[in-house]
Amino acid sequence: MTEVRICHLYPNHMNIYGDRGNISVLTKRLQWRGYSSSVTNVGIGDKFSPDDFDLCYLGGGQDKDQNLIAFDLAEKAPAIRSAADDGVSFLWVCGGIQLAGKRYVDASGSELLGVGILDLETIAGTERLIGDIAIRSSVDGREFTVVGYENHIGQTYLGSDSRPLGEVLHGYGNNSFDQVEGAVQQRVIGTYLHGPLLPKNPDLADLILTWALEHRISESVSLEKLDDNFAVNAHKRAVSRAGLKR
Amino acid sequence: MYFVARLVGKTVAFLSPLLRRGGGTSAPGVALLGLHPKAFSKLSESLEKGSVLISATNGKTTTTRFLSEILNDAGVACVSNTSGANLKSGVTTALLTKERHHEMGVLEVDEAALPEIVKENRPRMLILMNLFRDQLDRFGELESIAKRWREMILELEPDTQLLVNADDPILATIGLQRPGSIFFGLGDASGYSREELQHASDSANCPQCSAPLSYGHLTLSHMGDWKCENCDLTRPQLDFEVSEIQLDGLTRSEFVIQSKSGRHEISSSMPGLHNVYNALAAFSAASEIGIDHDGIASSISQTVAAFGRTEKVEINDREIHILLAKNPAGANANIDTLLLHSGPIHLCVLLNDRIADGRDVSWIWDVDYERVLNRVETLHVGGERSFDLALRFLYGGFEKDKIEVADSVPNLLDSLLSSTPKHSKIFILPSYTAMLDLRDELVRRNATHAFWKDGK
Repeated sequence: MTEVRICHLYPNHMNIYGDRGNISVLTKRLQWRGYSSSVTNVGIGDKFSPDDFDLCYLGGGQDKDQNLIAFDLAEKAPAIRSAADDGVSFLWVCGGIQLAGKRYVDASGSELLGVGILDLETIAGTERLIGDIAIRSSVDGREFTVVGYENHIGQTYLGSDSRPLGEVLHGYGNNSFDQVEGAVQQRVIGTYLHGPLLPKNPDLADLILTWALEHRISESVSLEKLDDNFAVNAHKRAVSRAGLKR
Repeated sequence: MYFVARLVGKTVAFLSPLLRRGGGTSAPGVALLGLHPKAFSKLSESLEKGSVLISATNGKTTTTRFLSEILNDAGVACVSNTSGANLKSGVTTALLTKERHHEMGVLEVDEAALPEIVKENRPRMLILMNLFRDQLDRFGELESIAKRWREMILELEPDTQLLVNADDPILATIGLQRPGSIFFGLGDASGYSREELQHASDSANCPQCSAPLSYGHLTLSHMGDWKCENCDLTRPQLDFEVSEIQLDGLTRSEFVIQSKSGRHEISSSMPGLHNVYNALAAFSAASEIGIDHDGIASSISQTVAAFGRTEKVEINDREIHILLAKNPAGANANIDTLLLHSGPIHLCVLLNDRIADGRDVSWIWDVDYERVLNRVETLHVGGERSFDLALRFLYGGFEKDKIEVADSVPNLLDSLLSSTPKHSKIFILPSYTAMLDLRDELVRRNATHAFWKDGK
């Protein structure tokens, strides 16, 4: 049985928005289709080997926790970049998208270097971008909407090497101006959307799993459909919620 | 001008309940504060024996209820916001209902509103009970509330007495800033200590040096007998200390409170460890105010739950237990409580996403529902975000075909009653507004009273 190897980065520090829900979705959707999976928690001081994983997840955390892990992440950065270049599937959410970028400039002007697997940078803004959000996404020839909740003070700007994950239908997105959300580059996805992200967005979950399986077995994969009626209904509710006036 | 403003407020207070929703628990205060911004300070000054303010993420309403019962029984007439309206408008409304014989205020206060209310009210006593992760969209990170509380304590009036739950490391550290703070906590939690931190726990790191804390015992979330091995910061010495806890299912809890005045046996009809903390806080406060200890114990034993907080409602030969669950720590405490029940569990979880619930519903994924699932006979989910709950339980490992999704409160109740045998106990864990919606329907079916008539 094919086993997908999932790396969960800093689960003890970066877990503020029900992030473990994303991991459940990944492992359960594999299990329901007859694949197995292993989840390895990689924390501060643990080694990250690029050859050990097919999928790498990082969630959101409180500011003080994000600062705490940033130093450790800098040490892992070369290995993480090499995994991204090798086609490992990445999902980095909330604080994760900022850390995946090139740098983060905080309110006092001091600069924190990111891992650099996404060509973007983030500058602390003056207002918190907060609320329900819906985006339209087109990745790898698949089109779908993604819904979630955003809550960030960072204003993120994409460079030329990364594309947005989607156009904003309702809500803010990466910053107060561009009307786009998230970033995709190679098989790395960064996004501010939580809620958690994956339970209500099975299309996105399956895209990430397809990539991870393809990395594992080195051939193209087409996943069978699952009965997603709870997700479809929850998704609908979230879209209508996002469409309401704030 | 103040008298006119007060008259307008009182008029709104008279009219609001007639206008139904909300029970008039905030509107009069809004009207009064609009006309006279200093009205709250003035009303506070009119209380001869001052006020006790109670704040926490969880347990405010129940503790307020315990303490006002104790004081009223002891002949200290209190005015209180028992309906749970705890923003400035709500506490102002409560003080507007003050009658001539009322001497003291016992007021629960929202965590974010607390610093401003403390400044204007100048309480005789301030009780800080716990801070858990809650409504990130409104409060921001837990750390930001803690910071505001820390600053508030530095500016506290010298004659305000501070009572602090020593088991909460962040609050204990805040209490230690101020000489003379009174600390309460659990001295011995035998039988009710957990092995490891719950997933949703925040602040299990030392508030002073950030090293991970170690625990002699661990009770709810990050609370317990904590110590930092790195910088030697330790839980402060307890002035009021609980031991010999016996939680007897959903019906009673018994425990002992030790203080410098001796040993006091307490028996309470409120179940669960979280209610032991609530009773302990009220006991400590009443003891410091100078109430006779036998009287306190007797009042505690007679206090029943506030609306929606482990409230029991009987309908069609079934017992519905409503356990308000509005954040991960509260929901986890409720799960501990319902695991004390030995029979089959009929579980129902309700989730709305209005402002009072928190717009961001991601917190349901931080609750350890998995602990109870193998005991669950029937499972219903409802509320505006019912399908988010359905997904939570589906990915939590519950069988898909057994998850009943209700599309309205009346349909939910019908389904609960038709899918459970007579004499069943049905446990409903609603978010705040979902609890109000549920109670509206139960009132409509004559199963209980309206919430603003609670405790009257």
